[in-house]
Amino acid sequence: MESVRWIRGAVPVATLALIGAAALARPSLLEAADPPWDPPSCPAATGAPAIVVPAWYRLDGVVDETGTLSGHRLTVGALGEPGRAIPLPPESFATGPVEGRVLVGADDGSRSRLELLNVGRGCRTVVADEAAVVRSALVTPDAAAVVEHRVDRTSRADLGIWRVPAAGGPATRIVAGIAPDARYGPTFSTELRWAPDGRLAVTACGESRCRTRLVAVASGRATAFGPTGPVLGVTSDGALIANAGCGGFPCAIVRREPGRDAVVLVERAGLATMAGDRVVFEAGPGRLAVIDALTGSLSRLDEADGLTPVATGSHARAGASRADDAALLVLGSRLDGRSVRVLPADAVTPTRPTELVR
Amino acid sequence: MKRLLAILLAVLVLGTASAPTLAHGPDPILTGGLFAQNKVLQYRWTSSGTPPLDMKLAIHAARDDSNASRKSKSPSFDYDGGASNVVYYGADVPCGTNGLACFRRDTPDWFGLWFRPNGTRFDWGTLRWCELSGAPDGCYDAENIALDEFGHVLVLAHHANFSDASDYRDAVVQTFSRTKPRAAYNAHVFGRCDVAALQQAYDILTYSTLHSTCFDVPTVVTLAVSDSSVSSGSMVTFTATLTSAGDGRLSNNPMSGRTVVLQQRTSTGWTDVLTLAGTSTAGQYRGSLTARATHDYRSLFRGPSNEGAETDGSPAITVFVSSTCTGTCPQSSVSVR
Repeated sequence: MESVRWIRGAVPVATLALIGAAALARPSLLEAADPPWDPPSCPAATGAPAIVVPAWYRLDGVVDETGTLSGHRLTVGALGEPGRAIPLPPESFATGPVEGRVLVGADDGSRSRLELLNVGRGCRTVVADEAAVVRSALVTPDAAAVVEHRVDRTSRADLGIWRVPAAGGPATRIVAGIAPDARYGPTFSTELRWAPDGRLAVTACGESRCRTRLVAVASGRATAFGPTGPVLGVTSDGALIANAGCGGFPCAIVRREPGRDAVVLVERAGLATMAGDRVVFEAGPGRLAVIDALTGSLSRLDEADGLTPVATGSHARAGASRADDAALLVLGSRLDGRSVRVLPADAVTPTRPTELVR
Repeated sequence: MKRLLAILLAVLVLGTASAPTLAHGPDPILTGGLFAQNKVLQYRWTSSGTPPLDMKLAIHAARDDSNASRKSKSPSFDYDGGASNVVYYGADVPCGTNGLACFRRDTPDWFGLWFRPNGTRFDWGTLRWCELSGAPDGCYDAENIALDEFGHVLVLAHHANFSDASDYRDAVVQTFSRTKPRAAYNAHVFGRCDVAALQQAYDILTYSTLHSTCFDVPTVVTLAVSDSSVSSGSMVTFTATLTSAGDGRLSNNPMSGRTVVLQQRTSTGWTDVLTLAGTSTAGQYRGSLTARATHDYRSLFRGPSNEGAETDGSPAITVFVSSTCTGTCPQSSVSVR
């Protein structure tokens, strides 16, 4: 009889990677391999072709001796190469890369600043400097703007989603903040994701339940989904793919369409990530599987030993350049320039990403 | 692969994983199976995410809370530096971007817990663990949250509350936690609906453990008599048994330490004549009386207010007494052996 076990205690070193990639092997101090870095401002555009270097990033929390989060350490680099580390305050995030640039948000307690970090050129460009707290943001698919989620600095009220041109200019609100709802409790996180049709998925999660609005950026028109657990993505036919709201793992992965009951795609899954219409998930110790969220077609991944799915979204703890329909995986316990793996569309064997990025 | 396919269902209507249940019912239970009854699940701190001292103490206290209030054969928890199960404290929590803590359960052997650090920023503000921050209003009680997580590890899913949350105290394992000073923010024992689900899943701890008042377990009481045809003045011994008649593990359990009475039928109904005493046999109660006249008897278990067990009465049995007295016979006298 085969038992379903996510982690086998008898070989903890080998299996810790299965528990959640970066979770268990994370030193809190800067390492010699990641020297502190203070990138200069990027020079004004010259009209020359932009340098696009496939890149990666990882955001690590730094906990002080009292057990308090004292900041984050953002490590960025080119694929295949080691990274350089930038210290960030406790209220900070990073997303991307998009066209070789990592979007970095940092709040110093009085202002929130968004910068695009060009990994290839080794410089940064300020995108926004806001009085409100910018909780997270994404670069638009055309890289012309960023969309950001703001909360009020004093009351922490949800101020909605805003669009800020990358080249500068006034911000415009796409959609208002979501109204409080006692069924969900206080909002812990609001996660942004792009849907294949260009709409923006805005997922507000309470302590365990989430509600999502799928927003047309131009009109602000929204379609509501919920409740679910944390969201994995949106399919090409407009369905929401999410965990069931278990508060832990294993947990079901469900598909929700507006006005319909959720249906279970996977009854028990560990960590998962989504690319295109495919969901890659932990199906057991050392086992990854992929399910097509449109057809329910299921396959087991080959050569997946030691690989872990990497979550996406505006609060993602790590990211790497890859094709839009390629799922992001990590070999070992932490993502860096050499541990990145991707699962290309239609493939069942993960590979290194170098030959796949644009 | 066969097992893999078996656990992956392509498009089924969402089942127990997120379906709400009636409030005041036992908590829903998680998929993924159970640990062995009364298994001791040991845990250790991870080297990369060792909690600060006050957090360790809170988690240990929650361990003790779980062990003391489980009232079931669910596993207990203990700390062991060489354990394979892990508890992590730090910023890299793998279960999404929301929540204070999360779990991973890998029955029948493994579990892990992750706690976010003090100072974590959420949309609503900054996380303060009461135990690490001087307990200001708005802090979260780490012992309460850890007890919630231990409950998840055991099998409990989030309790379904009434819309006004008036039943919040019925469970520690909640969809969202309360902060100081809201009622029950620092609950340190499993609520009755947590316990009910644990009892359903793992069975009651002992035969004298009371069933949770979050549910009503049917019972069956029987009655036997030492001799159903005696002469007047004879001592007759009545033996009753009391068992549970719930579903699954709550079926056919002897119920000890309860109150079972012997009743006698009168012209106006049934009257208590004797409280039967528990014997050394689980779920068995016994008492004797001196029979003076023919009567019907039955045993009765009244579902008490402090237990979720239903009332049941045995079928009546008749003790026939042949008269040896003349004139008016004396009333039956009662004695208990």
